[in-house]
Amino acid sequence: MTPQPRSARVGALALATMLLLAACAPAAPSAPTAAPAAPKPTEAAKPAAPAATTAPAAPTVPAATGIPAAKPAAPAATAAPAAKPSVRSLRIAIATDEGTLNPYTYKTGYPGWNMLNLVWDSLMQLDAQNVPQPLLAASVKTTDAMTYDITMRPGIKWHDGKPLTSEDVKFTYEYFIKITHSRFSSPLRAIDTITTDGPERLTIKLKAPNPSFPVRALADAPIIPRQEWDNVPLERTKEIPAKIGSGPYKLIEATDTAYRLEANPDYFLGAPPVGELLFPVIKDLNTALQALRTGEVQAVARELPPEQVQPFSQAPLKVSKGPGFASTLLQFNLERAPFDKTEVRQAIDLAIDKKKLVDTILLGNGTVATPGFVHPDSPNHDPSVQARFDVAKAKQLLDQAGAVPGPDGIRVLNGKPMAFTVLAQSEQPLRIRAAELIIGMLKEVGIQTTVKVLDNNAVIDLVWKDFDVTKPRDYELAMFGWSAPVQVDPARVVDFAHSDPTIGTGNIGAYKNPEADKIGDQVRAAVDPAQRKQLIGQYERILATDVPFVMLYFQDLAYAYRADAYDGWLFQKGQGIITKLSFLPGFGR
Amino acid sequence: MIDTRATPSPRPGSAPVAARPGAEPVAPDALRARHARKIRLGPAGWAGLALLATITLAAVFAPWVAPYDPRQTTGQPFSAPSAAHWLGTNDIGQDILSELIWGARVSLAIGVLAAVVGTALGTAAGVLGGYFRGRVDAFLMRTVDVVLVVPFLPLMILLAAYLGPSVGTLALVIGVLVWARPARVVRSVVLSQSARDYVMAARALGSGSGRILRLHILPSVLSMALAEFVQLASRSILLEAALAFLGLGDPIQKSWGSVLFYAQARGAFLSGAWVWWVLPPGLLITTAVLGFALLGFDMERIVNPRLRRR
Repeated sequence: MTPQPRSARVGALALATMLLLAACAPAAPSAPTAAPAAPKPTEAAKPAAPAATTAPAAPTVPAATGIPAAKPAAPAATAAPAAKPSVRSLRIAIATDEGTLNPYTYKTGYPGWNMLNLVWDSLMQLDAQNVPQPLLAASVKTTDAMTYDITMRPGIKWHDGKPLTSEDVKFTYEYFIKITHSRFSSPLRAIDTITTDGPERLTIKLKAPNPSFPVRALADAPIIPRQEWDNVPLERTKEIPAKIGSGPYKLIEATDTAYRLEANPDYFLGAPPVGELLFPVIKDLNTALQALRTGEVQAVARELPPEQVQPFSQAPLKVSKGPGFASTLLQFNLERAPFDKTEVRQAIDLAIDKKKLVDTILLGNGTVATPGFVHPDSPNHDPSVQARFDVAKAKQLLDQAGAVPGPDGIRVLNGKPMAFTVLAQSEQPLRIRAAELIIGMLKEVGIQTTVKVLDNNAVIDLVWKDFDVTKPRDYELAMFGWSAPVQVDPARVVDFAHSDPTIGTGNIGAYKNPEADKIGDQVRAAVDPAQRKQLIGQYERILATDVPFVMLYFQDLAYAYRADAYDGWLFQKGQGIITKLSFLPGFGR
Repeated sequence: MIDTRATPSPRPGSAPVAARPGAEPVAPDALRARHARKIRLGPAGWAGLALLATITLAAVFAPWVAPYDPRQTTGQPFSAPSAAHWLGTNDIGQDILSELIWGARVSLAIGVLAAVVGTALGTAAGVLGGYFRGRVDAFLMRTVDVVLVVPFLPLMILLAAYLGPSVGTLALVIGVLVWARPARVVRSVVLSQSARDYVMAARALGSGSGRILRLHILPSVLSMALAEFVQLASRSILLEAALAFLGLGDPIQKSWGSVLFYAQARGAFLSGAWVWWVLPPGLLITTAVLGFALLGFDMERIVNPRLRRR
């Protein structure tokens, strides 16, 4: 085991030295000249190996890149226009290593899964608006959301030149269903049978109608080559190298400290515009941003904090911004009095100025959330459901509920002062700050709150023990949030409010309303998009009335990059810029 | 291991560590030491005291000294220093100068409280071990050894995360982890004291252990304990700041460490904001620690005759 960490350390050291050198170098403006240093972050021990794999794999283009890599000859870049990639090499800082980038080893959804998607293709691909478009498939047809007829694009090849057929697709789906522990397993279990009809056609039958199937499965699960994965048992899935995919990039090297991907010149949508992608691991965000500023990296995969949006928008730096789908909310425990009272929850919702939170904490880089949970930019959002803020009405509601202000201004309800504890996670400074501002807002209406900051695990233990809503909960109020994928599938709104714990897996406040459950079931079963949208709107309006949680805001996503190095980035809604779309100029824009 | 046994050996070379009063020479020195307690502070001590007094006064009179309520948003977030906000504002528009003045309360309180806990524990362990010897001593001193070799910061981080942050628990956690040094120092004083003639005499006259401890031993170690207390206070302030900076303090409490935590969390190191957001709390921590250290060194010089003779 020892050699590996050591090599990692050597790599880290090399990287650190690189950064240091870069920092010392007096402002070398042309970022591409930094490219020859690229092989450095990989292990110095075996520089010959990657070079050897480089040459035969891609005979035309990378041969040109291979020569200057040996010696820093900057002018070669200008000779490039003859070759296909317009940008020779890009370095993109990532926060953690992503294993070997195979479907069982990558770690993060963003950018890990997106990096994976550079090497592998799925049948469909979400476009910039998160609408699934056929990718490996030429067409996906369904009439009842239960039987999907799929025609593949003809002549698609794996990186080793062998053809990719419908058999590979069938194998992949069955493999993911059988060998669990991947994010694709659960959505794919909706499949009943897969039948192939020649190398380019297949039919997938589901157990029940599922309009979310294209988003959750077809556009999510990468197709893996049968030749390599056949009969690989679960314990060995992590060992399979991510060498042969079908995507726009080939994985050349994966170490703890950096990844090297090289353009696949034979890609069926045309060779990607960037010849080589390097992903050095830079753990500290500030260091990564500093490296971007000095030109040592040309993009940073991590979100730019709101306070850095302004400073990083100055040329040649650029910020790509878009709506984020990760929510921040104030969760009630409806099992605890007085949060079982709808008026109390409504009053708290009315007392909180969400706009001020966005302006103060996010410096305006965010979207005020609407009480129906669904992101306001979602095509399924009902525009009649709006965020509210009305202190007078909040006070009035509390008066009606029988909560009268005591001598210290704190209201007393049923003999108990309205003094509550809000949980917040120590890993989330912005949420703590939001809680801090909320204290002041609630004090205005006579509710006293104190914030208790615990580390994430401790908060989860009190709010969502073992991630199981049937387990007892022990809190009054909690700052909480749900990650972005939740918003991509509009039917998942039901997950957070349905009283049946097998459906409402995220109903951490124990909200219960038979009418909401009824509509929720219809939302889940709806096949027709228009009907589903209408039902989701209805569901939103129920949540807006019942307020099982106070929706606060969605933080915008912002990513910084150097526009002088590459400006073809495409912001995929809710994801970011490190996606396959950024390297497929003619697709999904 | 340096064994500081009670034999009142006059050989000065027997104690390799000069600061340890263990191998203290006999009665005349002890007498002088007792006089020494009345000796005034030196210039370093006064300087330390002055620094501490300034900070303490500011903390005590924070409501009058601070220009704003540090919990109120009184300006635009991330403002640079101006006439209205001398040290600018933080990420949610609170006045940083006011934060620091109010933060002195928490920082000093935790420092002093933790030092009280640590000194109390250490003195109790030192007195009991040094006086009763034998198994009690062996047990206590082995415990001290354990505490000394425990990886300090990781354990503290663990405890702080487990117990949840509040002024009380932080002080307790820090206190529980810093009592080893005072225990050793106090024990060595007790060892030498309990072999003194007057203690022997008291015992011969039939005084119980409680009486001897209370009337003879405790008073003789108090000055040493006080010096240790001051040293611990400076260490505790640093530790509190470290914990808070790592986000393991109570981020809702205004303390110097939590100001640093937010400065780091909101990118003050990337922008120029560190000049008014990171330096001032850093300097304040340094000042407080320096104040306690100067005072502590001076007090140790006075209560420890070996140092005083220099």
